[in-house]
Amino acid sequence: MIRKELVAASAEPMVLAILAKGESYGYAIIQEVKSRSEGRLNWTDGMLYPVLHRMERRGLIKARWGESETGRKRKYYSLKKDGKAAMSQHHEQWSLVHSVLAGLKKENYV
Amino acid sequence: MFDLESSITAWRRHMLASGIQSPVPLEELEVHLREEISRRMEGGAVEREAFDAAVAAMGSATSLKAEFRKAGGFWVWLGEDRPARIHRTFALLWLAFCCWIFFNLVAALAATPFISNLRLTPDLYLIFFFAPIFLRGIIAAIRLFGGNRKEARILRVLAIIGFVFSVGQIIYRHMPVAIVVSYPDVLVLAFYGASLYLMRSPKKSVQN
Repeated sequence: MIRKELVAASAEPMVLAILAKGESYGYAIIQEVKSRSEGRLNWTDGMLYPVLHRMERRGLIKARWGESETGRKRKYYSLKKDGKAAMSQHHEQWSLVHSVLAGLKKENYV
Repeated sequence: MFDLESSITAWRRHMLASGIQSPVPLEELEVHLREEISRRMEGGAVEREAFDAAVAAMGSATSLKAEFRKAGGFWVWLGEDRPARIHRTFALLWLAFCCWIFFNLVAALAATPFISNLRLTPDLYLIFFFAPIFLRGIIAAIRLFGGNRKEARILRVLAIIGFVFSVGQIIYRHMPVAIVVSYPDVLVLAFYGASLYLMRSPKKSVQN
């Protein structure tokens, strides 16, 4: 299981990356994260919503209430301009961390 | 006999009693809960199992409330991190300060009958010198509050000018007798000093 600090730190870039593909809603975002991480990034379902609300307040994403195909009420989120900028910044930083770790691993084991 | 709707109503009541606000975010959490119950039931779970598992996956009301509190309120509005909050606080203080000085200067200008005799006194020179500076200060404070951190430099220059001017004024006021610094003087100097220190540019990383 992945440490909760890492799960918390990765929540915002994950959400931004998922919303970069198009509008989505809380439940679908969680399902996508679970499925892509094969259940190893285990978010407590309710914890996603404070993250979404914080991002909305910071102007990274916007929300609208809509309806699903079955008529169920849903709150849809989409990326704003600042969110796109934040996503590239996250991408850059996580790539840097990844490349440093990968480089160190290579030096140690190869 | 388990009744799904009354169980969801009881869950809502529990969430409300624990401080989760309605309609937002409670509505959204309920929508999520219902989706999770449906998914589990489609997977073969009975209503009660699906409900219990969905409630457990949602997390406790106490921890949810704590997370929502962190996500909202005054501090989040003020800024996402400490430097952002400091810059926005100083932006508000500088906005009030610059507006106060600028409008006093404009009022002094309006009260001066210089147009009739077309004579520029030293006071008028000072007004014409300082009014544009503080107007720029107002613009910088608004932009800084909007997130443009580069504008902090303008306010730091103003703080240096203000600091030097205030010290000069204190010395001039009390010369040739002993200099006495009053509480308002200390307050103004502390404001300039704090602006210079807290709005300083972040240290650049040293590159080899």
